[in-house]
Amino acid sequence: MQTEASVAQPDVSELELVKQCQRGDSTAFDELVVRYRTRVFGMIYNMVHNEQDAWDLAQDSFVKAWKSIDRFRGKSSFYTWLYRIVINVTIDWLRKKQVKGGGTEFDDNVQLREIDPASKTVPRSEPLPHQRMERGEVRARIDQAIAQLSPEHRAVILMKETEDMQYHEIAEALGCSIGTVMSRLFYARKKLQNLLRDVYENV
Amino acid sequence: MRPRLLLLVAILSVALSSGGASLPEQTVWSGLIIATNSPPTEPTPAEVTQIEGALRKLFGYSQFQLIGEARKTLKTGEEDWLASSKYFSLHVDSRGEKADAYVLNLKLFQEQKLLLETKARLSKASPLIIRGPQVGDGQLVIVLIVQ
Amino acid sequence: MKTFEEKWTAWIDDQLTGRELEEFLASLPDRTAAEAEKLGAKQVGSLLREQAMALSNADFFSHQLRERLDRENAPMRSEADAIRTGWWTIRRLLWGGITSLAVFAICTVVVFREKTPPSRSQYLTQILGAQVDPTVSPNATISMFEKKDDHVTVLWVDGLQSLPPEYAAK
Repeated sequence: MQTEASVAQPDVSELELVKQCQRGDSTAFDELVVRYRTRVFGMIYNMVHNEQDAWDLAQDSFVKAWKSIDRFRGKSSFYTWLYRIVINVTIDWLRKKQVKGGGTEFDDNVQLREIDPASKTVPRSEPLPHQRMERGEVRARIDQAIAQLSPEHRAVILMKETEDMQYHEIAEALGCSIGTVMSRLFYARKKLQNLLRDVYENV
Repeated sequence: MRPRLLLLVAILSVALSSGGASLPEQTVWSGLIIATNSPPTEPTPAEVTQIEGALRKLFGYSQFQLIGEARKTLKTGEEDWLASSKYFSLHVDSRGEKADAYVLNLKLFQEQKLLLETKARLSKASPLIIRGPQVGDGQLVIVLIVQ
Repeated sequence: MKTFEEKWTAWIDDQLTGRELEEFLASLPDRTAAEAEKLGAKQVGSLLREQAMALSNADFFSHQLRERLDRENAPMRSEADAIRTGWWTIRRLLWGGITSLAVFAICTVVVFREKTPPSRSQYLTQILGAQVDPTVSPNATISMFEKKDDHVTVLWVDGLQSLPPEYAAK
C-alpha cells in the first residue's frame, strides 16, 4: 500500500494501452474501459444516487476521456487522470441540476444546532438495538446522508473511502490542495458520522 | 506565424493597458477588530475607517483596534483562511461568485473551537459585520468587505 | 503548519507518525472520546465500501459506449474533409477569429472608453444561514438585521462566552 510520501507510478501495461489509444487504437481504449467501468460507475452512482444518471454520466466521462487521451502525459496514474474527468463531469451535472431546481440544497454544515428559542426539540427516534437494518434501507440511508454533502465533499469522501485514493491523488483529481482535501474529509466524515451513527452501530 | 502572433499580442496589450478596461479581480478584505473605549495604540486602517461610524452606532464603542486582517481573492470551490489573530481565525469556503457578490461559508474559530458558522451572500461594498464574544472590556467584531 | 482538521484527518487515516503523533495525542482533551470518534469514522468508511454499487450489464455498457464513440468519430471525419475544400482552412478561420477579437478589443477600449463609476452592489449582503455549536455556546442566540443607511448587514451573536483581555492579542 502506498504511503502519502510516495508518488503514484503508472502501471506499465496501462501506460502502453494509453500510448496505443493515443495512436488511435480504439480496442486499447475498450480494454481501459473494461478495467475501470465498474469503479467509475460505482463512484458516480454514489454521487448522484440514480442508476440511469450514473450510467449516462459514466458514458459521458469515458467519451471525454477518449477525446482528450492525447493530453495524458503520464505524470500521474491513468486512473487519477480519468477520475479528474469523472469528477468534473459529475460535479458539473450536479451543479446544473441544482440550478434547475432538481436537487436539494447542499448543506455541508456539521450538525450544529440553529438557535431558535421558539422551536421545540424533536427527539430523534432510535432503532431498537436488536433490530438489524435491511440492506435496501441501509443503502437509502447512505444515499440520503451523502446527498447532504456538497459535490466536492462527496467526491473527497468517496474517493478516499471507496476508491482508497491517497490525499495527493484526490487533490490532483479535484484540482485543489492536499490541505483542502484533508479539510473536506474532516467535515464530510463528521457530517456522515452524525447522520449515520445509528446505521453503523446497528448494521 | 510567430511574428503575426507577436504582433497581435502587442496590439492587444497596448489596447488593454491604455484603456485600463480589464476587469479588476474582486478581493475580500476581512478584519478581526476589538471594539473598545481605550485610547488607540495604532492608526486605524482605511477599511475600518470607512465603517467606523456604523460600528460606533452598532456597538457603542469609540475605538477599533485591528488584531488581524487578510485580503484574498476567492475562487469558487476553494477553501482558505481569512483574517486571523493569536486566538481567533476565520475560515472560508467559497461557494460561488457573481459580478458583484460572493456566496461564502464562514467559520469563526477560537483556537480549535468552532464558535460560529454562517453562510452569506456577500455583496460588493456591503460589509458584513459579525458581533463576536466579549474580550476583556471590549468586543470582538468581525468585518468582511468585497472590494 | 497543519491545521487541527488536517491533523485529525491524518490521525483517522493512521498517517500521523513519530513526534507529530505524540504531540497530537497530547493535545486531545479527551483521548477516549477521540478514539471513539476515530472508530466511528472508520465504521462510516466500511459502510460506504460495503454498499458499493455494482455495474449490472457491464458488457452492454462497453458496447453502447463503443457505438457512441463510433457515431461521434464519423461526423468529424466528414467535417475534416469538408473543411479541406475551399479557401477557408482551419488556420485561416483561426487567424480571422483572433484578428476580429483584437479589433473588437481595440474598439471597445479605445473608441468607446468610459470610466466605470465606483461600483457598489445595489443589494445588501444577505445572511443565508447561521449556527453556533451548542456544546461550546449553550446560551448563544443569533439575530440578523440590515442597516440600509450604512449599507451594512449585521449578524448579532449574543451569549458567547466572555474572554479575558489576553484574547485581544494579535
